[in-house]
Amino acid sequence: MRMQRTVTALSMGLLIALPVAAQASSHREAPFVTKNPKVDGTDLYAFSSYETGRAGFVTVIANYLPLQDAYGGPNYFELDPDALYEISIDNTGDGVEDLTFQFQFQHALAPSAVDGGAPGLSLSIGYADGGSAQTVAVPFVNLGDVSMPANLNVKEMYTVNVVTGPRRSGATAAITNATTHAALFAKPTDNIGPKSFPNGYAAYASNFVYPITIPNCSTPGKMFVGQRAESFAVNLGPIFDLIDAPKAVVTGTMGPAVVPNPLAKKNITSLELELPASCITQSATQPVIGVYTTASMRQARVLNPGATYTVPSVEGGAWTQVSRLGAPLVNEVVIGLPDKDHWNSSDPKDDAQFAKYVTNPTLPAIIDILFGPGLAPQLFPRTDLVEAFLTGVPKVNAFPNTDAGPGPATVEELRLNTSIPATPLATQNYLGAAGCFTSGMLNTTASTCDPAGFPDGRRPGDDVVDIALDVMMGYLIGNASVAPAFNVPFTDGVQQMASQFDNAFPYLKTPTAGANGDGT
Amino acid sequence: MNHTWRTQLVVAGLAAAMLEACGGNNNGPNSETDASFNDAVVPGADALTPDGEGPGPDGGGGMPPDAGDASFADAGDGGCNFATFVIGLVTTDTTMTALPSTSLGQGCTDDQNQADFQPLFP
Repeated sequence: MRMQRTVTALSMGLLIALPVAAQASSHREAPFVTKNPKVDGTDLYAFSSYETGRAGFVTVIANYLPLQDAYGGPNYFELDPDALYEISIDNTGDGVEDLTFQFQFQHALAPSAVDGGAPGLSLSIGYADGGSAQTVAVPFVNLGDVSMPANLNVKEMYTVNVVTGPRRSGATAAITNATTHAALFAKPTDNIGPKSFPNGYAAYASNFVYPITIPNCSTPGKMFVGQRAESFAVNLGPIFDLIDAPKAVVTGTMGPAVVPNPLAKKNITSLELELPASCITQSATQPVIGVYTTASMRQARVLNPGATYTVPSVEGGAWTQVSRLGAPLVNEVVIGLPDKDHWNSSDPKDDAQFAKYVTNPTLPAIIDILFGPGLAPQLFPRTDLVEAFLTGVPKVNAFPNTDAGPGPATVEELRLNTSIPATPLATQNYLGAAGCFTSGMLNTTASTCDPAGFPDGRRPGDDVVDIALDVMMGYLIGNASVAPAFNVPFTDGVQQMASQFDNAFPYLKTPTAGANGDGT
Repeated sequence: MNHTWRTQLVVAGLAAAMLEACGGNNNGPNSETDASFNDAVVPGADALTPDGEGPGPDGGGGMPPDAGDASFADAGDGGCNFATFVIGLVTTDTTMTALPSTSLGQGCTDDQNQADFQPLFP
């Protein structure tokens, strides 16, 4: 048995902070971002760093640009130079960001090898009309080993600003390289294949982990932005085909690891920061942070009818938020289709407007239709879900007070109590803090207890799909009269676990190479 | 005066009005000509200037309260042109502090004339 199934009112809150539901964290979850995959935030992680020697640091990872097929050349998966990617931290619990890390990208062709020539790598091909050598631009992003700068046709760079206070009006200062003091950082080229990276992609990418100086913080942090192996595991295809799996699989009879992860060879693009906890929390006595990531685009875009590499369009106007992600799966399977784009454009402080999706969730009813009847909880409103979903768990990861007054605000964020020590990778429980329940009671001394995992933040190895499925189906209610399936270990049949990841920053695995035919 | 030329003049005038209202943001492509156009050639600008005197869908020409510096663009359908509206958004404010316009220009006339946007691609 993965965990005890009897839960009291006290414990109801704990798991629920994980929000709800199941399935594909936030990949292509709303109509608008399907048209703009470069600004589609897919997964967000926030956890106390478990790399040896990094106690006191918090790692935040925001993934974008979903379902990358590694062979997707010749342009691969640059981020959008006309977008604003943000990771926000609310350390007062009011749903308003207190710190925001703003990533902006730029790309440029290699300088011309010829004086006055057009930018970009080129080859001399025969002769022009006047008899001089004809120089012609090449169509690929590299000509040779990418680790040699002269072979790289496109260079992707980025800057990161830290805004203290509200993200659109607070004080802004740049993150700089702690060694070189530069404010412009290079992003590694995606994993094209072994011929473009003859010394191995892992060694190449390791050069892009930067020590960083963070404004108003005396301790350096770390930063990495680049392609990684997709970190999410889920039975994606069958899930959205009306959960096309045998009931024995869905109800856990065959265990949590029945089928291979369909996303195993996909890639993702990660924005990663490792930050001193003392620099992002309100105080030592208020160690909880709420984290969310957003992407914004300029409000207006005019396509250039004479498009060029540097000006395919002109974009301007105010930044307009189009993607938002805190805890996993919320917009994916909780928010109704008519409100998904609205959710992505909204601010956490306004989350009360979406309460009906939590008080009266549809996913349990859908599972009941497909595999029932008699499975879905019949207790409405789901106050258990509401309380923990929007407020965190008292004495675990809830804010004791907020700027607005005593008590937690109704805000959907990925909440992390930074005072809870990290669990080493080898002993992490894929059910995270869910393993801290025994007979329905919170028991932090239980042998299965791993309080440093989801919903206390989220680590890459936490199986949020299974946890969320169980919770949605009434695990926290623990009363068979109103939650008849509360004790059923629902699962998608694909297991997520800590051993699938590295033991050090940037934690997520080296991306799948585009070459070698099958993406390996 | 052909349509494109007239549009360009109006755009330039608009940009000038916006820049003035915004305290001199010179990010737009027409900034060098703003002053003269603003003074001389914006007969239709009354409907599009920041005071919102034109009859707009927001009921009386007022600006949306959260429209930020781009609020001039909420000119309503009283003669507004979609290309002008869009160019106004693109050129007016590229700062970090601006809030999006809540007006989407849906009531504006869309000539579907690519040349209307030529000022953006000098």
